[in-house]
Amino acid sequence: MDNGTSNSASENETITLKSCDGIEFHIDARIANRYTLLNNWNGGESACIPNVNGKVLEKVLEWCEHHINDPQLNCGDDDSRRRNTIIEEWDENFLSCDQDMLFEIILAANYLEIKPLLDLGCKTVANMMKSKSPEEIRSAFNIDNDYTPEEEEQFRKENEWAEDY
Amino acid sequence: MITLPYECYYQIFNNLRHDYKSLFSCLLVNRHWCRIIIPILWNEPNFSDIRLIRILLLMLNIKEQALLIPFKIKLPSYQRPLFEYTSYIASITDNLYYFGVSYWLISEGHHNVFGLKEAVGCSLIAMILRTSKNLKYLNLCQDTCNQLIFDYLYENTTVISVDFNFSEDSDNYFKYKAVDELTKILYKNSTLTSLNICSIRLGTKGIKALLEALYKNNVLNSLGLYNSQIGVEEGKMLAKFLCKNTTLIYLNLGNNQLKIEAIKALADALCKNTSLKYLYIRGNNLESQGGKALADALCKNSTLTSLYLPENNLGSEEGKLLADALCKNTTLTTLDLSDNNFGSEGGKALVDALYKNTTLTSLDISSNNLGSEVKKALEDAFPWCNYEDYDYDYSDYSYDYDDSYDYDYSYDYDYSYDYNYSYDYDYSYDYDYSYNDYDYSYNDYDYSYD
Repeated sequence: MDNGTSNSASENETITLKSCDGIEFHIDARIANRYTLLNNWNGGESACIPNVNGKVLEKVLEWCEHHINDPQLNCGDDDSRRRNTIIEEWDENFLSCDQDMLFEIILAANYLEIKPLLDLGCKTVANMMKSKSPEEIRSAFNIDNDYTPEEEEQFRKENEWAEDY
Repeated sequence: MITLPYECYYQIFNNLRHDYKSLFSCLLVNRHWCRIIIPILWNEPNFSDIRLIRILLLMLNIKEQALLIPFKIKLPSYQRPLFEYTSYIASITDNLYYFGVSYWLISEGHHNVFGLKEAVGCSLIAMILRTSKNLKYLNLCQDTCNQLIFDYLYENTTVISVDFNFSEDSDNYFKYKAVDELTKILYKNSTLTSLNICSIRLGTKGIKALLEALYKNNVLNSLGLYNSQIGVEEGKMLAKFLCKNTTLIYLNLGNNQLKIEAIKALADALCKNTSLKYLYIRGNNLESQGGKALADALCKNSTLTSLYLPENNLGSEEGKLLADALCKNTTLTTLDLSDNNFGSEGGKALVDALYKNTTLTSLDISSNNLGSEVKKALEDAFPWCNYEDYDYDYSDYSYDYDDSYDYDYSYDYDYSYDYNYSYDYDYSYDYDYSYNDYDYSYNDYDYSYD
């Protein structure tokens, strides 16, 4: 199938998804058709999605809805998509949420196998790391440094060829 | 920060694959990130940097160090590396030898020692070949190849592509040795799919040995024998081979002296062969009879999708014959007939053929003196063709081809050389979950000699 519109489901069909904390979403059946995992849970009137809470599922479904008419990419296109770190404006705004939510979206997209959203989330995080010092990255993502000073120094030395490029 | 699974981290950092500086910062964040990033960072390290060369020199084993003993040089004596970094390297580029090693020798004040640069280059390439679990592409020339490298290559099970670029003045003994070793490797190896041998006179014996090995090897699908003085006898042997072989899909016989008998035999083979899709026969002076034989073959062959015949002095009659063939052939999508002196008559026939042919998507008939009328016709009806007349200065042009054989030999140690690395890497998701879990236990290397 080349794009969302040629899917078997018609525009008016809806499916009910239930988040792990019991919140229900009525979604366009074409969305479920597009993503295998959502489709797999489509048992009829309502399907429960474990591991994803209502707040996150709402965001994920909002993204799916916006991109419902995007052409579907083949697996072969993975590499070219990943290399291109440019992000559309709508997506950029969509993901300029707080950091916890961004990571929750990545986790959910990974879990639900929504590859384009996963790519997008990973690209966004990668862009947040660009041109920062280790210390800046640690404080941006609230990460503890577990290296011993000697170890850190040695890793620096062994990889410093990468520093200038 | 919410913890993500490994594959998500991998994907995040893989976005920064070519941004070494950012990856370097990320790997210093914490141990967990370091373990994920090192395989990405070291997949294609920057071989031009002397700091990398210093680290690589720490990883030589006794055999590889032995290559350097005669020169009595002092190797770096840092602490042993924390990772087996070289196990992640996927390709060794020419930068290692032409830049990295050169710079390192200059910095150590050894740059004028005869044979040292080659020895350091060979020891490093051998080491990477021995230790990488990921090495796929290997470029060798006489200076960067020795017995140890052949020995390792013989045992290797990861390399899929080897390019041997001999210069015209490579040592004959070495050339024969190289062909001999390659032949041995081809008998045994089941991973190598692409072999390019450039500028080496294989001779009847060499070709015979190589083909005998290839009769037994059913993995190699791409063979390049560019500028290898393939003559009539060798060409006939290749033709015979092509009649039987069913694995080869890519063959490059550019810049050889195939001559009419060999080309006839090859054309006959094309009528029988059912696997070959890409055939490059640049600059073989095919002339009229060779052109005719190939045109006949194109009428019968239904496998070939790309044919490159530039600089073959074909002439207008052959232009017509090839045009007739294009009316019948329904598989060819790419055809390069540039620089063949078709003139306006050959050109007209080709334009007519284009109206009938429905499969061709790329046609290069540039530099054929087609004349303004034919060019106008092409511009109107088939603007996707290349029909310009280029005014080449052949003395400069000889190696600047636009097929996948972009070898630029102009690196005269002036460091301004721009290597067009034409492999199409496909690393998408071939990462390995079994990365070393902080394995600090390395083989006990001994750096004690001075």
